[in-house]
Amino acid sequence: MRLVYVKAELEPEELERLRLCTACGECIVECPVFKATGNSKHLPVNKGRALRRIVERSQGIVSSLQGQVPLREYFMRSSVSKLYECTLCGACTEQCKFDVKPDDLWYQFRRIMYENGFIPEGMKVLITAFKEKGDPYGMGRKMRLYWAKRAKLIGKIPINRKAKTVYFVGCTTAFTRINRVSAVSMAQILNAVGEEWTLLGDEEVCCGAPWLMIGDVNSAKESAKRNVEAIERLGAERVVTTCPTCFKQLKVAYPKLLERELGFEVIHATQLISSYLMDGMLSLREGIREIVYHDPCELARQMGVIEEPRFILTKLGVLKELEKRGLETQCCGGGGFLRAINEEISVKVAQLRVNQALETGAGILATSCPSCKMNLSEGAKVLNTNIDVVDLVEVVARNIEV
Amino acid sequence: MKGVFIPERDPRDAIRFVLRQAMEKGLLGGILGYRRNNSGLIYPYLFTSKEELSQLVPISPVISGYSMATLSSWITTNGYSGEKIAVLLKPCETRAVIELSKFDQVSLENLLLMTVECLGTYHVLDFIDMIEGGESPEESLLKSYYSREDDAFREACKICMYPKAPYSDLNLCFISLGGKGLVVETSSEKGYHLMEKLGFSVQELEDEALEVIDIRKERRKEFLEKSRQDLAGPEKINEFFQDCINCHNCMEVCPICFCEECFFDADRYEYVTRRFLNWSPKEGTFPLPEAKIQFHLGRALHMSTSCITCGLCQQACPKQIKLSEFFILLAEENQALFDYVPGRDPEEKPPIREFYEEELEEYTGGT
Repeated sequence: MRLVYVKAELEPEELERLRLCTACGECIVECPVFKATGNSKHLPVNKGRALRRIVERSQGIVSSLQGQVPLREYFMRSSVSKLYECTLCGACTEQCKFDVKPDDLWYQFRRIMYENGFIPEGMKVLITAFKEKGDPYGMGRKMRLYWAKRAKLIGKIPINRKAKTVYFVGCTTAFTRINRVSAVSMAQILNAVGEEWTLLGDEEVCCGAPWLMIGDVNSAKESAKRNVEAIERLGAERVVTTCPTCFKQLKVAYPKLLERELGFEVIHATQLISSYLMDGMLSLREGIREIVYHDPCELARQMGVIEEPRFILTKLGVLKELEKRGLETQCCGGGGFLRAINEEISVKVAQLRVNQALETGAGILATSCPSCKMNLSEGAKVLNTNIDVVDLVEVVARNIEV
Repeated sequence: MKGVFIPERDPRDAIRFVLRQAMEKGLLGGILGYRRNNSGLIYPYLFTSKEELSQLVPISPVISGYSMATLSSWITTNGYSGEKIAVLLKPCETRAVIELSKFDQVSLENLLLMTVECLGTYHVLDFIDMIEGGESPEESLLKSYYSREDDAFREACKICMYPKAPYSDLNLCFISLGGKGLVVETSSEKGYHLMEKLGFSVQELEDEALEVIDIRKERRKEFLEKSRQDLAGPEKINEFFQDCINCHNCMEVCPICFCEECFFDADRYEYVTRRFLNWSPKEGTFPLPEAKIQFHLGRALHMSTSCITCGLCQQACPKQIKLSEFFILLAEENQALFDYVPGRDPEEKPPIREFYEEELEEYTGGT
């Protein structure tokens, strides 16, 4: 039995929240990973207990009596594996009646594990590539505009110019084949409206949200600094993203990481498009019959953008609703590096969601997150159905009325 | 019964007073109890300075998540041998601590068990509802204690026969005094010495039984009768657990469950599809998720003779399965079989750790 000394530090407020857990079990029923696997090691309660064991031995009740107490290495390794088998969707936080905010604690838990050198096997290669190339896909900055080159947009879109609006593309949108079309669509929309906008081009680096998910706060700070500098140099008033992860990172995490207010506003593409529609700068034709909308966790539950996408979709056709929506949305399985660690579980979670969408009878499943689109398409492929998984901006771009 | 009578004070103040005295005189290194936060929620906390004691909740209206017994295990399993730590416990938690000490999961050496008399606690979800409704759970708890109304308490509490722990260092009794004063019963040597050193004179006091016991005896009989009917035969048991989703939350909170790593959490239970297909012709149908009945039975096998019937398993069940029916029935019958009362005496050996050649002849045939 090998023992390890673990240094774990939480803020007093975080430790208090952790201790407030009464293990009442309310969070259990909605956990998407548990729904898919039925394995109790994926439960929020189970992870919370592991975190408490570690923290109480390092800075809490146990250590204040006995000083540092070692933990079994096996326990640490099993904890790290269950910790990464989580999509960080926040369903547990939504259910919690005691204000524990578990999803925030999972970020801290991952940070503690990273700082003590416990990283799951599947992440090691990814982290090395991430460090080298600056993005979790290991593509490098030269590939940032590949989507625009493929669509023959170079020359038609402004890159790195002074402008009012900056479109922050994000790694998942720029680097994955299935999502390139979203970036192209967004560019088309911005051009159609006549917005004074620009891309950051190869000045853009990863938003840093993946670094927070891994637990490397310093790298996240580095990313934040570079992006904010690039954006502020262009004198932009607002930044728009199509990716909810980037949106949350820029809007919520950056001011905390940099410890200052940002000189610009951050909005999500759905917010921008719905404001265009309201101001009459953009009009859409009813191009589709029935569409069902999946709320991305980070956009709906964590950032509260719920009404805007629905407003846009009702202009396009008949909107069908899923039972789990808005704040109570169910995760697609694509978050929190679950896909990198255990693709099998990730696809299982996606299948649950696609099945719910199929029950509504709509032919199109729309979402507004590149990661959701990727994972739901994967789920639809495994289920062998022909439901069309699309990003909301694609549908908008296809149906602009000239 | 020997003890100290502290007259006129509110029992909560009296408990804080005794603890503050003990800390001032350096007799206690810390106190493990509940602390109240700004929004009225409570959480376990180790008090190490007497200034913090104003935030101590001596008579807690709930058992929150992991019971104090589990935490006592955490703070002593690594062989801590420093100052004494007082732990404020409910009678069921005290009994759990005694049981854990028999499985080498608690060392009683450094602990001072202070058991607060108890007629029951609220379900944690009722507790949060009360706070959100602007009601003070602590006040309503004391009110129902003094008027002996236990309707709002958890099911397991309503049939609990132990308002006082059979073994404890100090028993803090206040219910029969109706809010005016506190009796500190010195039930062990350790408790006696502490009170002596604090300058209290320990006297012979009259023993008063609480009148709820008789009502509860009746209630318990009815409860057990109902459980026997609900659990008669394998079909009924299958039906009883049909809603179980195998989340193992009952195991997480159980103060007795003494294994460090649960066998049912192991990867062994992640079968490949092929095995299910192999089973199905044999079994006809079998309930999914698999192994859930085995989980409950396996757990019962380990802990039913030490079960202190606290009902935390039921409080933790997200599917509201009446687990206390199952465990209280098993506990009652198995403990009667060995004439064993968990938490009665730290020196007593638990049945699961002992084997005699001549025992249970009606089951073993005397071999």
